[in-house]
Parts: sequence; C-alpha cells; structure tokens
Amino acid sequence: MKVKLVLLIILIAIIAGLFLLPEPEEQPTASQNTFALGPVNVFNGTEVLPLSYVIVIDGVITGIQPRPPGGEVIDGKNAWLLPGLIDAHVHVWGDALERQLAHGVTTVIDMFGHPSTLQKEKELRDQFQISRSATMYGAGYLVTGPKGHGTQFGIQVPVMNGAEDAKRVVAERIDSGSDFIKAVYTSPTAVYEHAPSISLEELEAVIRAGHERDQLVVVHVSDHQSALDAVQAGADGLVHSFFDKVASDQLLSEIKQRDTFVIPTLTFYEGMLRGTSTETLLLNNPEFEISAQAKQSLSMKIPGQFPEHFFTNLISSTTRMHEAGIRLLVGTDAPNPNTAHGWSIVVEMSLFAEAGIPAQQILTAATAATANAFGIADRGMIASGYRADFILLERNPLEDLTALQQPQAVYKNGFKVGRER
Amino acid sequence: MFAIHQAEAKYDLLSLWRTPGFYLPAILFPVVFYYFFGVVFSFSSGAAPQMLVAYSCFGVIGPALFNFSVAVASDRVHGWMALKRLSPMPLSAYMLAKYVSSTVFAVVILALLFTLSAVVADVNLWTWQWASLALILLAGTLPFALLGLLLGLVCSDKSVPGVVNLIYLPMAFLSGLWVPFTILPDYVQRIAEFLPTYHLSQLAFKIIDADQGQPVWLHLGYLVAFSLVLGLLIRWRFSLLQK
Repeated sequence: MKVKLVLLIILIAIIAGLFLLPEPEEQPTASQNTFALGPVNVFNGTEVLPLSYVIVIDGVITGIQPRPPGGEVIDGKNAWLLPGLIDAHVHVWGDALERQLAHGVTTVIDMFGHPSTLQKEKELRDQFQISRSATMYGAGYLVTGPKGHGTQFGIQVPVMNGAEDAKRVVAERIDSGSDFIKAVYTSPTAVYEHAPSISLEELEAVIRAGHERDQLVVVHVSDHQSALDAVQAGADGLVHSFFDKVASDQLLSEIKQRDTFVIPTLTFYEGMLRGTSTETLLLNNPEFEISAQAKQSLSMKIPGQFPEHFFTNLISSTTRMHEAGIRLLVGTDAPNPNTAHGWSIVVEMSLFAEAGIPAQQILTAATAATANAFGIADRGMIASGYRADFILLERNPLEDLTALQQPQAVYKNGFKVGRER
Repeated sequence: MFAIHQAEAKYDLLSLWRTPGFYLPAILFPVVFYYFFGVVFSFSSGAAPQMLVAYSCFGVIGPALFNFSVAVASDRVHGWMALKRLSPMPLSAYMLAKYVSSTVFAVVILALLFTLSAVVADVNLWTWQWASLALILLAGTLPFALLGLLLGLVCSDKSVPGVVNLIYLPMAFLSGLWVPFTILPDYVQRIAEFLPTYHLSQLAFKIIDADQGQPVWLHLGYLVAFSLVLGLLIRWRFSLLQK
C-alpha cells in the first residue's frame, strides 16, 4: 500500500516535471492565413505606399488597396508592414531557420552546408502550411580545391580537380539540389594566409559550366585582386567584400558593367576589424533576451590585430560601390564570429547605413533586391501574387533601422507566427 | 506471485541505493559528458535540441548495458545467481528487478539531462515532444538491457566493464551520438546503419524532426529483430549454463 502510494507520487512528480520543461513560443493554431489587415504603412520592397489595406488569401497576397475591404479587417493601427527580410549569406544548421524567422527573417540564402539540409528544406518551400522556420535557398556544398577553404570545418566536401572537372562538379551540385553554385577563389597574388585555392582557369571553367546549365554562380573572395578576377571571370555575385584596399575604379566599372551583385558581409568583417557594432546594438541592450547560444557566437572574436585603415577601406569600398550603382545585398554570414542567426541582420543594415546608403535602399537590399538577385519569384515584395511573408513594425524603419529589431509580428505563409520573447 | 517480483525489484533498488559508489558515477557520467561536449564545447553550435536528443540516447543506454552486464556477471561468477535459481523465486523476478533498476537510472538521467538542457542550452520543446522523447528512450533501453544481459552471461565479472565500454563507447560515437553526422565522414553513417544505437537515436530524432529521413519501420524493425536475436542467444546461453 505504502509502496504504491510512493510510486504514484513519483509518477505524478515525473509527469509534472515534464510540464515544467520549457516550451517554444506559442504558435498560432486557430488563426487563418486568409485575412485583411490595415490600415498599415507599406514598404513594398522598393518604395513606400500610402496607407493601405492588405488582403491575404490562403497565404498569398491578393490585393493592396487604399480603402478597407468588406468584412472583418485586422486593425493595422498605422503600423509598418514590410516584406519578410532576406539574409543573403548564412550557414544553416541546427535551429538556425527558427531563430531567423523569430526575428522577421523569412528567407535565407545558405552559402554552404550539407546538401541533406537543403534537400529537406527544398521540399517545404512551395507549401503554405504553418511554419516556424525561415525558407531556405542554398548552394549545398561549395566548389573548392583540395584542402581549400570550406574543407576545414569537418564536413567532408567533395573537391574540384582541374578545369576539366568543372562540368562534373557543377552537375554534381545540381544533382544534390543546389539552387546556385558557390565557388571559393583566392588569387595567387593574395599575400595573407589562406587555404589552397582553385586556379583562375578552374574558376572560369566553373562559371562557364554553371552558366551552361543556367545556374547562378557566386564566388567567395576576400581580397581586392580575387574580387577583380572573379568579376572578370563572369561571376554573378560576390559573397563577401574585402578590406585589403579600397575598391579601385577598374573594379567598380567591371562590376557595374556586368551587373554583378555584392554581398559585403560587413558584420563579420567588422567583428574582426573594429568590433563595436554588435556590442552597441545587441549585447549591451538590456531589453534583449539573447540566448546563451546566440551570445556565444555574437561575442566570439577572431584573434589578431589589424591596421585601423582596413575597416575604413571596407566601409569606403561599400560607399563607392553604392555610389557606382552596384547591387549590394544584406547578408550576415551567421553564425560566424560576431554574428548570430536572426539577430545580426540589423547590425549588417546599420553598417550599410554607416557606409552612407539611405535606409530605403538598405531595406530593398534586405528584401526585393535579394529575391531578384537569386531569382526567387514570390518573395521579397508586398505585391499581389506574392507570398504573405511579412513583418509588422511599430515604428518607421526608414527613420530608424533599429525598428526592425523587435518586429511586432512576423507572418509566414500568411500565418502570424509571433515574435521572439 | 507478483509480490515476489515487487520484493525483488525493491531489494535490487535498495542494494543499488546503498552503493553510491556505483550509482553516482553511473548517473553523473552522461550528465557531465553532455554538459562538456553537448553544451560547452559543442561540435554543433546552433543545434541544442539535437545535442540533447543525442546525449539522452547515450545516457539511457549506459545504465541498461552496465546494470545488467555487471550485476549479472558478478551474480553469476560468485554463485549468487545459481543460488537464486535454486530458490523458488522465478527467474523473471530477477530479470524484472534488474530492468526496473536500470529504468530508474534512465529516468533519473533523463530528468537531469532535460533540466540541464532547458536551463543552460535553451532547449525548448513542446510537452508532447519532451514526453515522447522520454517514452521512446525508456522503451528503447530494452534491446540494450538484453545486450547487457548477454554480456553478463558470457563475460567474467572482471572483464565485463571493459568489454561493455568497448562496445558502448564506439557504438555511440559511430551512431552520431557525440558529434553529429554532418561533421563526420559519410562512411560513418553507413557503418552506423548496422548499429542499434543508430536506430534508437533516429527514432528519437524523429520527434524533433532532425532524423536522417529513413522510415520508422526500418528503425523499429531493426530494434525488434536485434532484440529477438539477443533473446535467442540469451536462451542458448542459459541452456549452456544449466548443464
């Protein structure tokens, strides 16, 4: 009798314990992805519309109109509605996609990861179910040489052997689900310490092979000469900027002429070269509940001292690219040191602002421009026919980009999926 | 008749309770291991729930393997098992008692791991996920208890801890329970598919949607077949011991 009582108490304690364990943020269950919302200020991805009502049917935006539609309308309270943000340079694993979405990043471009993750996420892309994760497009494995950059992280990466290998490598990436091809290239003239790289000839062969198969080919570079080589070789995009010198007139005109886009990943570089933005904008803000895990990568530092002018080079190049009319895209390189999934996109945008880029163009660089650059048809804009992935902000982000830090609401596939905290 | 089962289970637990030298390390080992390699020096930052599931698998398998193998080997070598079998107590009571003890261990280890993960690694799961994880892992200890039993019937009490470690630790590593498959060479996963730890962990990973995408029946089928084969081997071994 006594034994049974004790057992019962233990069992109850265990079950009660299960209920005490933390649960994820409450998600919508009853809410529908068919609704009307307004009046809201709409930044549609490129420009601000007058106060509007947005109509969503089954997760797709079907209309934006100045007058309230008939029927029930969710009060928009003159808040700001923006397309869900797109982070153009991340590396997804673990719960990265959930974390991104919680911060209003509804789509990410993965620049190298295990193809199995991409294949899994690819299947979810076209559906309109409730989702707690950002949508992912990705490169899968990157294209690199034996012992090249990308092979050092412990993931077994197939490598490229010679220019004649290019077609095979590209076909292999396409077969394993890559949405575009990412190659890693460092010019032989680069003086800093770097991993062995494919040759310029091999890079040209990869770009040619990619273009023959109608693939976008983007290139990882981290110095001026490599950037120039990659652009001249026909890269569609550069996934990093550089800081060894300020972008030359020649480089700018080559980029401009070919309409290459650049994802400067300023946040990652800033952590290495200056290291104040993340602290000021995120870590020192007592209002933010930053998880231990995010804190870890945000406070991680790359060891080494760099001359002060490297950071000014980085910013000046960004300014010059902007002034030359080059397409710049917002990408954080999360979760590398000084970044964290979801948290860092605002840091990247503030560094764009530091380079003198107006807020409106920064917002475009984090939404419509990225979707456009990667050929994503139904995201990055608030317009009829687009997916209802958007964020609602209390304040005007055009006046203050930090308004993006705590979206009032995040909508994914038309479902309100809440906010972090 | 069940009174005997109950009494035996109770006294088996009591004897464990009186040997903190055994239960403290047995419980703390997986917890400390998880804290070091799943949280602090995680090979997989950004995958806190995955690490929890992997280390929970690792954690519950340990007591099943060790409690059975070490206790059975020692009872057998010292003649205690022969004495018990001569007594009117059914063998099932002896087995059940051992299984109850290892399950209690597993529950305690899971409780510690779950709490630790929630507190220091920010793991948030739905209550149904926490609950099904616990149930799958607890039920999944059975094949490992059988493996422990077989080892206990085969090895001497001196050799058994070493043999168990030699099976347990590599098996856990190769099944991706310490570091995720994504950072292991591809052939490791092909080896893993032959291991029970892999199939149990894949079932658990399904709860957080982080498995390798193979069907449930494959994993279940493997574990059932594995248990049946062990069952047969154990019967054969018992029949040998009886002679």
